[in-house]
Amino acid sequence: MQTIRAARIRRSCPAIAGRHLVALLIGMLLIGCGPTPPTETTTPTGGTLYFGLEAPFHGFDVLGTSGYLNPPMAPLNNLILEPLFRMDRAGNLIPVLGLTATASAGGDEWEIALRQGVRFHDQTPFNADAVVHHWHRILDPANRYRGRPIFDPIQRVEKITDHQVRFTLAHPWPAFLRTISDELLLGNFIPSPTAVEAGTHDRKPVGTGPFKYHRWNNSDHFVVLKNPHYWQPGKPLLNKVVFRALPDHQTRYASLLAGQLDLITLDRGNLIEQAAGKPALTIHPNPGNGAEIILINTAEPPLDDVRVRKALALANHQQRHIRMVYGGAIPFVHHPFGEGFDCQPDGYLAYDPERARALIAAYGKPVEIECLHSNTSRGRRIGALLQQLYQEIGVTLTPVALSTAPQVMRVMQRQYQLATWRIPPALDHGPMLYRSYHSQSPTNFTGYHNPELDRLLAQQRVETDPAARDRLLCDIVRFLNREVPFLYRGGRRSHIVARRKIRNMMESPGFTVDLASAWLDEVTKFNQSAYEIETAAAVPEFNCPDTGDREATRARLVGAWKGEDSWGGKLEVRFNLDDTMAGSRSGGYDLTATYTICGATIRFQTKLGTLVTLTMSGQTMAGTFERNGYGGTLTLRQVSNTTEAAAADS
Amino acid sequence: MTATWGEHLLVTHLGRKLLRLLLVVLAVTAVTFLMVHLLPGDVAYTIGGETATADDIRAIREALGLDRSMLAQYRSWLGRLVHGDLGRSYLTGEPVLQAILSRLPVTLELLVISQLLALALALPAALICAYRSGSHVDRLISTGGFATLSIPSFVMALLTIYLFSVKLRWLPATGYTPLQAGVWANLKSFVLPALSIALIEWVVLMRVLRSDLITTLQQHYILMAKAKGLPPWRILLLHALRPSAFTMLTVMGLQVGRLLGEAVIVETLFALPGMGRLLVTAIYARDHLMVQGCVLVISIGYVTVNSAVDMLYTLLDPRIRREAAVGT
Repeated sequence: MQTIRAARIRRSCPAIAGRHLVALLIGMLLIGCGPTPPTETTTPTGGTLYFGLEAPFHGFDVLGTSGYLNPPMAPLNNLILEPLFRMDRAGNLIPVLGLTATASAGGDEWEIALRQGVRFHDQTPFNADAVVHHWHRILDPANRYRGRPIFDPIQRVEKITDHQVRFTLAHPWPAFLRTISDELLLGNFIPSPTAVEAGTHDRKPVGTGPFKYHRWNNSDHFVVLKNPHYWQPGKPLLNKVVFRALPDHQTRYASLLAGQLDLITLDRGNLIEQAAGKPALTIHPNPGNGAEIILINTAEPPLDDVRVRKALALANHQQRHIRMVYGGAIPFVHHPFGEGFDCQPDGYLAYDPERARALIAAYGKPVEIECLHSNTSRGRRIGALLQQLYQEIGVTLTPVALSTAPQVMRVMQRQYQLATWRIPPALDHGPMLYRSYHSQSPTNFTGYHNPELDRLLAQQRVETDPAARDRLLCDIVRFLNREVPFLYRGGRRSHIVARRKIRNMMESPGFTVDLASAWLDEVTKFNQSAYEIETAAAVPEFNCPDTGDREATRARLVGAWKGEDSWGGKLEVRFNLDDTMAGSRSGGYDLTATYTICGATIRFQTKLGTLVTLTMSGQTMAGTFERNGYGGTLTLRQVSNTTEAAAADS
Repeated sequence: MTATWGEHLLVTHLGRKLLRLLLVVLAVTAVTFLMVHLLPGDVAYTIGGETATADDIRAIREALGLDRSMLAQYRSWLGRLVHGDLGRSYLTGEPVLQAILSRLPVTLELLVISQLLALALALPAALICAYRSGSHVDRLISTGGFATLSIPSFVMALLTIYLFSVKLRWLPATGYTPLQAGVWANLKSFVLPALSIALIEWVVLMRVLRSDLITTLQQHYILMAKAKGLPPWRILLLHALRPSAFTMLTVMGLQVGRLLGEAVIVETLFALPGMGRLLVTAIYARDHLMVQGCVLVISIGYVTVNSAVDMLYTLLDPRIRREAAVGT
């Protein structure tokens, strides 16, 4: 028997309290994490948070959804409804409504102990009956739940005791815990059986979460109120969260700047870059996983020929997609499993137009293809870019702009050659790979059939040894990279831009944030036009790191600041200075930061992790920069007292 | 006796107009139904999403009745319409009538405020330009007007947000405050959206009114008024404005359709929960019943406004009243 005792993993900002002034200053400017615990004058409870989402809300009844939660809707869902477990980025199970998960010796049964004393918002008790009721609805074929294939190996869910349930699987399923902990699958969230049976849950959701439904108005705003009987003592700290749907990115961002919203979701590189230059804002990038792809219909000529598909992959410049279409807001990927998953050598076909031209020549016939893409400005940019890239290798591509419904229809009916598509983020990609590329899967829209791939896909479903399963997933990636049933346009990374006054906003491993522990720091104000930190009394003042004196304007600073910048990169700055201080920062992906610290101006610049320029008046520092995604580790040391720059390549 | 005969004629006239209105609305809904059904893809693909199988799509279509013929669907829609039932949104399950009624006041308020703002800008500008026709003031106002006319409404919207919300922080950038929350708060949420539309619309009204005013000011009775020593403001407001307003009124009526187009953009940008946003979302999702409901209400609104404009002529011009009375 294998028992997984879930441990509460708390993620918090780097412990910068009590460190040096510069640590505090730069930390606040760059990483968006305030000091914890709050200052004396801060009231950590109460207040209303305004959250701007890009998509309107739909219903909450799991049977009405396709299985995957729209990422922008996940934060709202997470506040009202709760799953049995969550999972952190390291793969540790976090207990929520479930306490422990125990596998049978054969691995085809899991017993889950449930938390006791929990009630839904409508006072229905949370127990095994509620869990069984929910899973029966999902698994009942008569209900035709469209997310059912994700949970395909789950055969039934039974009550053992009032607070214990058993999941019976068709076969040992290593992805079981990861799948039922995935916060982007609405099927994992347990609703009140009373509300479901009354038919009210879809429009007035009832769960066990820290906030409860209050009002849903015209697809305009959704209001949730603090659940005073929440089972986690001391949570939530906020009184109310108002979600507003603002589909236009520019106005959503403007509303944030104007103070009408406290946090927003954003996926436009140019706006994220602008936000990075605002000291009043913090950016929370969530690496996530999955990928933006172009699906290939391999069943029809000329794309049934692997040489043509390879040529398209070799002529596809992923970096250019990332830069031109997404403004640098998403990562470069070789596979959909996320940044921490290493499959090297993974057989990714990097940009090589010469080889692509040779393959097209070997094919020997003119290649004319059509690419379906969305009729948005982003979709049109993709179409134009592909047309240009493929023109260089002698392939004629016709972009076709369509709205979602006809594009999905044509892909499902296999009436396409190329189509923009996505691999959704998931804690475990095994089920998705099986459904998308197994020859017997009804959702294999590429038409790609290969017995060897089928074998690998089937094997990863039942392989219980984690290392062996990772190897299988890498084998699948190599196979897909070799046979090219799709092309990569980039990875996936969501961004939440928040006002700095929001403290303790914990990011979940999925594509969402957890606001149950968040509180509003209404004391420290940030004057965004002056680019200076301002106290409530509007007098610039800083903590002296050595003396702890808030009034001090002079300090001797010796030490280092090390942390994560707002782009997810690691940054380390060492210094030895003595004077008054003030600081500012601008930039984004191409980071430019300027600080006046102790009378000396420090300016450093990184350009997508490839160049570091460091300028410091009065002092000269040497810098080394080690790239890590879009960020990197910047290490500085003082080398002389001259007045100009030093530069170092990564 | 003449009055009774006149009333009888007026009733007949109104009855005929009402019948025509109904026929127009019916024709518009039929054409919309046809057009929406001819669009590729249907709501089943939107509901099913990227993970649906062909069986799922078939089941959704059956459940929603989309597998029936187009004529059968239209007949059933008309049948329900007679009972005041516009159906339910395929996408959200919300009753269409309820969805429209909750959003209609937002769009109506937006349109009324934007038209009032446009008039508030157009009327004085047209009076000044007509009175000082060809002067520097006339040229300056006309040039300024053309400059604002050439800016698309979405650019105007972003510019006003940047200036009044982000920089000056006078007005909210987005969102809607209902009237119940206070008149001023409600008006504040409409100022920028209405201004974005009005800054484009006022120019057309101003140019039309200016042109008619210039013609009117050349009439003999205006010369007589001047000879009698009436002050210019009295001549312009009491004697010249009313006979010069016909074309402007016609334009205002016809502009309703265009304003709805503007409202779609402005409501999306300013996150106003109005009909325009509802309609666009429904079209993209192929939510046929919602589209039908919206088009029905919009077409009724359009023909009603234009009929009202027709009737306004009779109030403004006694000659038309007389013509209607003798039935010519």
